Amino acid sequence: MGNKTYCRIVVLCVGVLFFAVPGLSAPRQEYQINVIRPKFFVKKSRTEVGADLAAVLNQTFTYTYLLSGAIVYHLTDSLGLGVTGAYGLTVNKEDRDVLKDRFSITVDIFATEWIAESSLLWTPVYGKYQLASGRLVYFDTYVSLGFGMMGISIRKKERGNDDPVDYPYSCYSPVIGAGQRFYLSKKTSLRWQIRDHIILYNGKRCAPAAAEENEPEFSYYHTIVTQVGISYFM
Amino acid sequence: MLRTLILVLVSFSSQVLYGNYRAAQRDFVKGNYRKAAARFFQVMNYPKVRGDKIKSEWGLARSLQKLGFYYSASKYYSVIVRRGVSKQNIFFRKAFEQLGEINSTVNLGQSHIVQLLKTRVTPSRIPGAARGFYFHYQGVEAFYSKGYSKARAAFRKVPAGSSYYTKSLFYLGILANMDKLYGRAISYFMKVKSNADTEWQQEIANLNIARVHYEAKRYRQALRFYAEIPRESDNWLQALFEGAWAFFLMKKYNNTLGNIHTFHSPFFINRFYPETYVLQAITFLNLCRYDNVKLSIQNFKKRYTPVFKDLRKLINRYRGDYSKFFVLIKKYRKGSLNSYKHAHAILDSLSRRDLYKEALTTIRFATREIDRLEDASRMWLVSGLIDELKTFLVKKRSVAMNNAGVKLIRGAQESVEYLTELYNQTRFIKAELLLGKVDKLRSLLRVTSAEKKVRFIGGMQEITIKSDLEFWPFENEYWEDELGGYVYDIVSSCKK
Repeated sequence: MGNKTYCRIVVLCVGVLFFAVPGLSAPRQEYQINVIRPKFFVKKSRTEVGADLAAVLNQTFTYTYLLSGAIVYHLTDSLGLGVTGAYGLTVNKEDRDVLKDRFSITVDIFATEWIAESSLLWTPVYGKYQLASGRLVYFDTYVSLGFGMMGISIRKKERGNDDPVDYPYSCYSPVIGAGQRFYLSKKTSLRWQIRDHIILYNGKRCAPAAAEENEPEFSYYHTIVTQVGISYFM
Repeated sequence: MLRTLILVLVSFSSQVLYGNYRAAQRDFVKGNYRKAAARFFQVMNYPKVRGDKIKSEWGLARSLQKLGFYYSASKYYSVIVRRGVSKQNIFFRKAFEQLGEINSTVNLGQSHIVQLLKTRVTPSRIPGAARGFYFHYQGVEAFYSKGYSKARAAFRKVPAGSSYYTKSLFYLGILANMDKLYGRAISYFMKVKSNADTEWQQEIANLNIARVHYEAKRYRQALRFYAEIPRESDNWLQALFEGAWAFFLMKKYNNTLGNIHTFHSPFFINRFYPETYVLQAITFLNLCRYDNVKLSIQNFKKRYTPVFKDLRKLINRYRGDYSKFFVLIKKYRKGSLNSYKHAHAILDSLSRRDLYKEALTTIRFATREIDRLEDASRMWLVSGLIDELKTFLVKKRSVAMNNAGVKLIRGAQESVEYLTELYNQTRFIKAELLLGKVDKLRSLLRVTSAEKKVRFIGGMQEITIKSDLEFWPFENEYWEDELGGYVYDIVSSCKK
C-alpha cells in the first residue's frame, strides 16, 4: 500500500470518528443545564413492609415455592436494614419420579423449608423510565448483604437402605442479593430480587447414616431464590 | 233561544281563549310544572283580569325554573325586574333573588346582567338575598369601565354571607394593589384564600398575592407564592413566567434561564409566551454572553415571524364576523383546525381566557334547553311557548357568541401589538449590540441587588438543609416530570 493510500485511509478514519462520535464534532456548550428538585420518592426514615412470592431456581429435581414477608427500615435513601421471613412448600419434579421408577436411582433432595434473615440494603442506583404511553416509572436498584438461618430438609438414602430418609437441618447462612423496586406511587412499589443463600453443609454431622465414606466434611450449597412482590411504605 | 245560544257560545270561547290562572296555580301546587307553565303562558298572553299578567309571569318563571329551564326562567324574571319597583310589581324582590340564584347555577352572561343593572332602583330596595348579586355585578361593570371608585364602593356593599362575596374580595384586592396599598391587597387575597370554594380560587389568590409582593419588590416572598401554584394548574405556566422575572430582578440569572428553558420545550409549542425570548436575551446580556443574546433574538424571530403573518390573515378574515371567529377557536379547542397553524399559540391563549369559557358555558346551557324543548309537551307547542322560548334561547346563544367573538378578536389584535412591541425591543437590543453600546444597554436594565444568601432549586423553591434533592443533567431531552425544575449552571463572562 503506498503512502498516499495510507494517508487517505487515516484521514477517512479520523473523519468518521469525528462525525460519528458525539461530542467531538458538536460545538462545546460552555454551560450546563440541570434539573434540581425535591426527590420524587424519599425513603429516608420510612418503614417498608413487603410481601413476595419466591421460588428456588437452582434445584434440579424439585420445585420450591415460598411465601415471604419483609420489613425494612430505611436509615437514609441509600441504606436500609431489613428482616425477612419465608416459608416454603416443595414439590417433586417428574424427573425425580422417572429416575426412581424406571432407573431405580434415588437422588438427594435439599428442600428449603424456611428462611429467616436480616440484611443490610444499599441502593446506589435511582432512575426513571418512560413507557410508550408517556407515563414515567421511577425505580431503584439495590444490593443486599445479610445473615440468617435456613431450615432445610435433606432427603438421602441411608447406607444399606433403599428408601430415602428425611433429615431436618437448620444452619446459618450468609446471603447476598440484588433487586429493584418500581414505584407505582409515593407509597407503593413493585419489587423483585434475587438472592443467594450460602449453606455450609456437614454431611457426617447432619446425616451420618447417609454420609458417603469419601464425602468431604464440609461442602457449600447455594440456594438461589428469586422473589417478586409488592411493598408499602409507611 | 238564539240569544241564549249565542251567550253560551261566547262564554265558552272566552274560557278557551282566556287563560285560567287558578287552574295554572293548581297545577303548580300539585307539581305538574309542564302543564302549569303552558297555562301560565296562556294567562300571560290573554289575561282575563289585569293583575293576572304579572302573576302569571311569575308563575311561568317559577314553573320553568322547577323544570330546569334556567335561562328560559330568567327571561321572565328579567321582565319583572326591568319593570322596576312599584306597587303593582309585587314580585320584583323575589324575581331579583331568583335571578341571583340562577346566576350562581348557570352564568346568565355579562350582557344579560348589564341589561338588568340598567333598571333604575334605589339600592335599599334591593332584596337582601339579591344584594350580593346586584352589587357584585355593578362593581364588575364599573371596574371594566374604569370607574374604580364606583367599583370599590359597590364591591364593599356585597354582604359577607353572599355567594358573590369571595369574588368581590378578589376585585377589592386588585383595586387595592392598583392604589399601591399592598398590605390591604394581600389581606383581601388572604381572605379569598380562606373563603375559597374551589381550587381555582385558591390558585388565583396565591397568584395575586405573589403579584402584590412582586409590585412591592419583595421578590423572595413573591416566589414563595408562585411556587404554590401546582403543576397541573392552568395558571402554572403564568406563575413560572412571572417567577422568571422575579429571579431576574433578584439577579438569580441561573434560575431565570432555568424557568425560561421550560417554555422552550416541545411540550409548550402551542403556548404563547414570546416575552421569554426577550427575557432570555437580556439575561444573557447581563452575563455578557453576546452570542447567546443573538441566538435568543434569532430564535424569537424564527418562531414568531410566521405567527405575525397568520395572525394578520386571521384578523382580516374574521373582522366583522365575530361569531365565526368564536367558532374557529372552538374548532381549535376540539383539535379539528388545520389552518392558520402558526397562529395556533394565539388561539390557544384566547381559548384559555375566562370570557371564552363563560361564553361556551352560556352556549352549552342554551343549547341544552333548546334540545329539551323538542321533547316538551304538545300543550307548549299549541300555546306558542316553545316558539317564544326557542327564539329567546337562540338569540341568547347568538349574542353570547358574538359578544365573546368581539372581545376575542380584540384580544388577537392585542397579541399583534404585543408581538410588534417585543419585535421592536429585539431589534433595539440587536442594534445596540452591533454598535457596541453594551454598557448603555445594561444600564437600562436596572436590577436591584439580590438576596445573595438565599438559593433556589427548580420549581422556584428555596433550598433548605433538610431538602432531599434529585439531580438530572439535561441532555437535550425534555422529560415531562422535569418541566419547571431546570436550573442553569452558567458563569458570567463580564470582565470585572
